[in-house]
Amino acid sequence: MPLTTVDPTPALVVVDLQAGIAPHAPAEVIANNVTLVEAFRAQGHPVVLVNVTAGAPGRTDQRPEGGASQIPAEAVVLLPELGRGDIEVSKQSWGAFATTDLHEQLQARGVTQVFVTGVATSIGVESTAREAFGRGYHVVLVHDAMADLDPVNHEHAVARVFPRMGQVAATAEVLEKL
Amino acid sequence: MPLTVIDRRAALVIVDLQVGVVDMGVPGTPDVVARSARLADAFRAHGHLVVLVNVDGGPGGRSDANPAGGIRRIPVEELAFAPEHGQRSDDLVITKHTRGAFHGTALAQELAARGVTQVVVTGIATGSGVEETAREAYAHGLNVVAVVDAMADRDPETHAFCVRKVLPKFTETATTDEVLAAL
Repeated sequence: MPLTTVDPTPALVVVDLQAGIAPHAPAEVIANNVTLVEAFRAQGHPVVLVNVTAGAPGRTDQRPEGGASQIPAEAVVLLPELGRGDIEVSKQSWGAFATTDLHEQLQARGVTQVFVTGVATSIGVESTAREAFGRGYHVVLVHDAMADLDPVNHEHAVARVFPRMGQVAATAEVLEKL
Repeated sequence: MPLTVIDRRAALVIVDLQVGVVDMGVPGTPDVVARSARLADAFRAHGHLVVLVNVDGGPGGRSDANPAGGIRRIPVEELAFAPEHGQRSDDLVITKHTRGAFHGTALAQELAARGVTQVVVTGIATGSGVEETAREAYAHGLNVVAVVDAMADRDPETHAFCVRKVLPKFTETATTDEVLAAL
């Protein structure tokens, strides 16, 4: 399905492209993010850069012992090629909204649509998209500007999850319509 | 992975087992309702909170599934809970307006006020309201248990994928019997 509309005030939300995480993403995904950042900036649309500084403490099958995990300072530094964000938020969970004032900052700028990119597709990107959809934004998932450590998780999110909470589009299509 | 422990203050959160959802005919619905009801009885018997969540609409964002967007309203007669839950006056009722039970509701404050540190989640649909509620609970710093045989999705592949690949990242997955044994 295509991207039907670009609202008058969209924002680009780049999730967790930081020193400790971004090296796991393919070079093409990083390049697409840089291209999108430059395009949004050129149009005067806000660019939001998000990083993660800690993980939630809950016990899980993958971390049965639980406990909050702090991410080392050197691992939270945003990729320099992204430049500075118009809005920069640091989160302590997966989604960019739950532990930050991102919603208030976007509302103050009149943003009605968010384009979500970054890593990882099924974790930070998906939680951010879910939180944005729940808060009433139109959500666009730029599928070739995101990546997951597990390609199967990426495929599942893009094919089965995202179509129910947003419009899935490629970088080229976004650039064309911006 | 086995369920490690039920916290001293836990809550059962039953997502969207309301008339309009139970009647959709999602495969496995009768088992989901029956197991959720068994869990609710056991949680009440142990003095744990039972939270009954229903949904009165959906957000208006454009999506591939709904390209024109627009807020979806659910008729009030579809909000009533399935009678099997045996709703009691000390159950907490939360009406949500999107997929997750936390955003836009008092659930986080209500749980915090009771000192609840763990939520045990069941309901329909696995990949929508249940997963979203579990993600929100995890983000709120809670321990989350996903009762994988007390949830279902209209897309069985989505259910299977969530149980195998998605939920283990932010929940402890367990069966109804395992939760009952751990109470």
